[in-house]
Amino acid sequence: MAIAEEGIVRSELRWAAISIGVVSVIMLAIIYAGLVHHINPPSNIETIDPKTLHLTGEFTEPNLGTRVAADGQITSRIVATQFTFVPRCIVLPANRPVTLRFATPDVIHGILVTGTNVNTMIVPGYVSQVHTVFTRTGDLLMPCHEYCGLGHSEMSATVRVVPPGDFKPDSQGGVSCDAR
Amino acid sequence: MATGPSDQDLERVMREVPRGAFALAALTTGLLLAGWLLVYFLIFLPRGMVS
Repeated sequence: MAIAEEGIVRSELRWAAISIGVVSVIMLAIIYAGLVHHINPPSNIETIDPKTLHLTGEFTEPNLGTRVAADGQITSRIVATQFTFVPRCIVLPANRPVTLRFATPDVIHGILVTGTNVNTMIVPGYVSQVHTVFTRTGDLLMPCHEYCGLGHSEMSATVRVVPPGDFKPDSQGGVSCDAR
Repeated sequence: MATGPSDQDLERVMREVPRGAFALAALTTGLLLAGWLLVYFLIFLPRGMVS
């Protein structure tokens, strides 16, 4: 029986090595994606008062949507509420680094942009921020993916990715879907 | 009354059992890893940077 036991121990050690190898491959793939392709989970820690975000500051209604800052940085600000996004359609250029910023005055929402890795939660009291570069043009669906109430299934927005040549800010640096 | 398998028979059988279990475990784990790598290379990486 001693021979059989040695064989079993050897098999178990081999299997342990294979398991460690599989886990290591997966971890290395994740680290590679983070360091080389800059694919990381969004991790912005920034607070905001949900009760007054519509009155002052960054997320007042005239300031929402896509804006190009003086230094060329493209930022799109969106408020997620029950049960709509404001604005419901944003325009962003392809092949340029863009920043999406979200806030909510009511409950926890979440967004993803179909066909991209953009995926984040929107929590009342915090500003969610995602940096990305869109590679393909077109109208992308941005649904709410965190149950936020009875109207959750109807809550979605459109991200219109246009070729960089078609991305023309107005005099205040804003770009909106209506202008097209 | 049967006397049961001899010690030699037992050792032979015991030597074979781990290989079968190993083959099944390796196949299922290998399929899972292959599936993971397919999604990683064909969907996750092409979807571009986000941070």
